[in-house]
Amino acid sequence: MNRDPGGTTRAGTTPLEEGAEAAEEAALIARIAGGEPHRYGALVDRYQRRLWWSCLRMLGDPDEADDVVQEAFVRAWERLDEFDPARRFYPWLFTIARNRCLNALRRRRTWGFLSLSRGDPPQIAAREGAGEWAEDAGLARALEECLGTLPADQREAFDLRHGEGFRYAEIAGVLEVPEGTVMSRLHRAREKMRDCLESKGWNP
Amino acid sequence: MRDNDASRERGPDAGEHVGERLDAYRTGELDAETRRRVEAHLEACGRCREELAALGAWAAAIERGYETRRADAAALVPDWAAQRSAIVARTSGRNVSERRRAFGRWAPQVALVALAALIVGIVWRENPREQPALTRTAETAPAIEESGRESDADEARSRRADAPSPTDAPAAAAPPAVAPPTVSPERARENAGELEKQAGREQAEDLRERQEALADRVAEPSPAAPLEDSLADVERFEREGRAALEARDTSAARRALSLWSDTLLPSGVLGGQRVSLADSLREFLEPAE
Repeated sequence: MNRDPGGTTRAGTTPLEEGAEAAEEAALIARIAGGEPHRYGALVDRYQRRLWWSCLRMLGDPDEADDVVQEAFVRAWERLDEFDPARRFYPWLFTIARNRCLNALRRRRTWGFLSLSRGDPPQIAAREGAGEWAEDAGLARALEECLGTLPADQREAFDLRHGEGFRYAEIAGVLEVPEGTVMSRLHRAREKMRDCLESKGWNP
Repeated sequence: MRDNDASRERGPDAGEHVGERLDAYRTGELDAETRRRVEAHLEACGRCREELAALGAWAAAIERGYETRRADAAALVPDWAAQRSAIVARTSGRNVSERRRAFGRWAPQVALVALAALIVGIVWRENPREQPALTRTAETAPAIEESGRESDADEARSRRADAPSPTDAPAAAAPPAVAPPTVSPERARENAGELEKQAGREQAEDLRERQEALADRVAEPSPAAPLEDSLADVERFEREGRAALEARDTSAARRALSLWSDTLLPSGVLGGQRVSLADSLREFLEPAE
């Protein structure tokens, strides 16, 4: 029985690697806040793609996602002295962006998640190939279809955990719910996702 | 691995199943006490051990699925360099510790409100017959004077103001009224008289000069209205860029792209907003050039 929870973490990184990355990032942010603002571009480089993708999933509109990414980075910059260096930067940045996405959605009065369960948007051409890539593409389609069957609160928790790689405490912070609630939502979401994926022939 | 009821069942010998906590246990996110309880349960529960053993591979496959979806969205991605430039342009040149000082943050707005109030007052003063006969006392005059000083802040000029257009601004030859702006003509004369009596003609003259100087400044075309200009530029870029693509007009497309490159991007305000349109224009022009 493998009961070494510290052996692996999210996305295949080890705790040591994750700790080193966090320390390097904290040092970078300290330098930016300490009078080296030109280094902010390094943070932009690091997270702009990931953040844009997340915003695209929430908003369903590439241009709008682009706007939110810019605004979120600028807002994060303005509030950098409030950032807690003991935490990871990205979840904090993401929270700023998510709030802006939610505001945009409220304005739009529709919940505009890019639901791939309704079929791929025409712009996203599903690439076909051989071997592992085709397998991944099939899994990705099944994944999106199944995500579309989840209630919104479970889907968002699942996205944050498995799509964003957030920790439980970070998800709780973003969603403003207790960690126990996050665990419950995710557990129910995983059960449904397993059922759904298996019904489509996927048993990862 | 599957045990849909794992979290709800209570095993007779193993205690409550720990399905909800296995993922956090796997990634080392549980507090010490919860972790001990989970481990104690795992010692006795084969189903939870199986679930834990399979969970890592399952999560890794799901994450690979997400990665694939990101790759599939490649056709939609913005111009990363343009996006980066726009962000950096809006954040560079300012130290983090400098950009949130309370007064600095609100001073432009405060100055703007003061300026707008004074402008409205001046315009009303210029059109006395259209004014409602508001009651106002001469005691408020010093406050107006302060507003005039506040309005001198350069930042106020660079902000978008709901101010009258330059053509609405009063002519240089302002009447020698010294009354506060929102006062009826009769009351204005009374106020002027009272003020002159109270503070002397010199002070009244000084106030009049200040108002006239401010009116002249308002009458000038504003040299800096970056937000307003940028919004207009963005709208123009969208309108002309789309029209150029529809009409397949290369020179119009080139003009729109110049607007994008020369004005919107360097301004840093909303610069990267319509990268897709810019990309489309570039793609359209590429074969032509």
